Amino acid sequence: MKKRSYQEKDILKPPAWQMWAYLLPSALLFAVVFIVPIVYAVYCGFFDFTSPRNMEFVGLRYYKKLLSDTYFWNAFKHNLIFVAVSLVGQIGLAFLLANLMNSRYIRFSGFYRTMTFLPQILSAIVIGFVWGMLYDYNYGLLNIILRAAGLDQMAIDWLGESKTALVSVCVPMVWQGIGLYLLVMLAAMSSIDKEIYEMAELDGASGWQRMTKITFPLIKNTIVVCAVLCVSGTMKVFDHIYAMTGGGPGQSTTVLALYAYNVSFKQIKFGYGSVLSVGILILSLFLVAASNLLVKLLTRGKEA
Amino acid sequence: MKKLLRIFCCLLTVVLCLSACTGGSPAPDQSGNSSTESKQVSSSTKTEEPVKISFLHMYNEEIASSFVDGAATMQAIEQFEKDYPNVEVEQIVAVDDMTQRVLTLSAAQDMPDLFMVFQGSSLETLVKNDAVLPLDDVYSKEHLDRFYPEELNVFRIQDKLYGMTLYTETTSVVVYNKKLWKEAGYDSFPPTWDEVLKAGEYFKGKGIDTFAVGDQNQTLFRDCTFISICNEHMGEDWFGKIAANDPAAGFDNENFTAALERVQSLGGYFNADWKSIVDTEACGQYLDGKAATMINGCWVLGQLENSAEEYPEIFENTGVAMFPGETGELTQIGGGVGCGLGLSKALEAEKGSARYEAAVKLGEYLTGDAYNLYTVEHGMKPAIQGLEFDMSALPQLSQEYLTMCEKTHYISLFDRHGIDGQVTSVLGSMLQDVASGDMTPEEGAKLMQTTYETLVD
Repeated sequence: MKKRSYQEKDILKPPAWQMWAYLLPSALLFAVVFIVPIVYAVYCGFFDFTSPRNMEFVGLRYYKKLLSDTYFWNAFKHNLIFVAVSLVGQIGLAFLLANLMNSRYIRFSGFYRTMTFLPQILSAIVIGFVWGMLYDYNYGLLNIILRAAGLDQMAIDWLGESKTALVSVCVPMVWQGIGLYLLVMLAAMSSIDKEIYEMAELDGASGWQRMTKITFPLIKNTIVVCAVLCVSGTMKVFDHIYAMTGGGPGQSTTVLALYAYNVSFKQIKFGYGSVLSVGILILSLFLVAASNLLVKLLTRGKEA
Repeated sequence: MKKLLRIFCCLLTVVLCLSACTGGSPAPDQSGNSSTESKQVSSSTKTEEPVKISFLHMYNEEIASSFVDGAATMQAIEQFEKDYPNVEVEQIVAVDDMTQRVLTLSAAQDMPDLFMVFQGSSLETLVKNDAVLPLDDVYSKEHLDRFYPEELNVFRIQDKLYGMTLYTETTSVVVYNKKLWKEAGYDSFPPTWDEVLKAGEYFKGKGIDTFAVGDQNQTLFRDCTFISICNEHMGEDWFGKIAANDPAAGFDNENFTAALERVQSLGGYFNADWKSIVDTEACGQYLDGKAATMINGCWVLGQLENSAEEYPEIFENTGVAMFPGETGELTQIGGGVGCGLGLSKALEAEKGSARYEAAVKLGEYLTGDAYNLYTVEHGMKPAIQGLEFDMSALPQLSQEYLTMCEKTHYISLFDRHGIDGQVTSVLGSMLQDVASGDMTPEEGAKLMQTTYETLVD
């Protein structure tokens, strides 16, 4: 191998000050867009105010209040349910569908891929309203089908009953979210050498075995990324619920972001609203880290 | 070839940049929702100085055409512009986020010259932010004396008046289908809940909902029905004590539990989807003949009048009744001042200027005889006294409503008492749980008490 000259090395690895100078614009932008608002939210949490001109220092009162706020923790519980449903529904179904579409026995897979991705480009508010209409007690498609099938007792107010509202809201979220992860996984699968599958087929491996013994281990890093994206995306879920139930009935579909919005902008409590945002950030970071760790632990044995 | 490609890329970049620049300018918003629209008034007399004033209100074209107060406001502005052609009124519209917008503008010290104000904590914040002008010395005593004193006083903070009543609204209006109730054996709406529920059994048998309710936003049932029930059980003083966080007052007591028991007894007679629809949809169910009654704000009368042609039979058979109670109809029901008009404190520095005079004059137009005559002729209670109008010329429904208003006085809504926002928010959701049987009245009362003790600042 040809030895690099000093100048070439210098070009490939510039001095530290130059690297910092290159990074500075992006770092500044990142700080202004991400770091400063977070620090400001933490700061605002020490004040009671309805306008930045009249901020009254309250110390740690709101941070203490957060710990005993049952509505916050109840909303967090709903977020956890959404996260669990999304992980299974979005990532799990996307993985299964990606395997199916990757199979050479499936025809028109491009069409299916496009149709599955289509909801992803729609606004969550639009999805919320459309599904709200589907769930409508009197005129909704779901209840019309149930009544036509003679299942009148099953035709209920899906979004108005506390027992069914949460599940009913989960369905469109999962439906909308599958497409993105499906595409990501298909892209990852395309990098797997086809010969591996052919060899496995020759060895008599079933479709299930190929999926679990070949595909899953080879794209597990992609699945980890998808899981992290799914957890962080679900933790900030707001618009579907805002459009479909507004957090009700009762508090049965209230999630953290909706609760923080209501406190900040409906009750005009910016101080406590800031604390709630900080709480959401900490819980989200914790969940993302936990999911990352969990997937790594689950896949470590297979790696070895 | 490469050169051609480069030229093409350069041209594409220029076109994209130019289109991005044109796309950056705001497109005109036809609905007027949360947008600023200017109405240029040409000066007819060159001797008069051209003046521009701004007015923040909550009426876009759609709302102005369907809500009486919105139409009255537009009419007042139109008349003002005709009478003062040298004045340009810049209308800033904030439909859903009026309070938030006013508070944000006050924080930025960028208040419009005139704006809508709501009683309670938002007005207190405006005063704290030094954003609203005291009106005692701005308007004549004659002008201010025409308002109902108890209504005007809601805008008074430390003996200074910061707003003038634009309109008053009744939130507990019972609207019922006379024909259906007659079939149930009642010539008029029954005065007690027990009788109402007795009729409810009849309606159940007929497959009709006794009440059409739309409480998706968890405020309508609280502010239209429960406020009056709660007042009957708790008394007016209780609201003030709760607002003041008085430890002697609370929710976990017999009276509040009794009020919740009444709520639970009613829940079985609502439309099945009452928690997932809004009040306009509930009104649709009433107009379809699927429900015998509605308890809603007075604004529903406008909606009914607008639907009179489409549903003539239902409209003709619709009546307004007094709110029922435990032992008889209630004379104190939910309602009060809906909204007021405020002026910017910044105008004080321009006292005597043409702009100042124009803003003050527009305020008179927006609270004067013509505005109130329009509202009363369309079924709203007037905000000023001594207004002359022919009651017999009004539609039957409006006559019944105004007659009901004469017999009643108001209990302010929960938030307008200054009760903590978190308490009122939990109250709205708890009422849904209790009415639908997901929570017992005792559990509801305990939940409210816990919220009151732990979450109130």
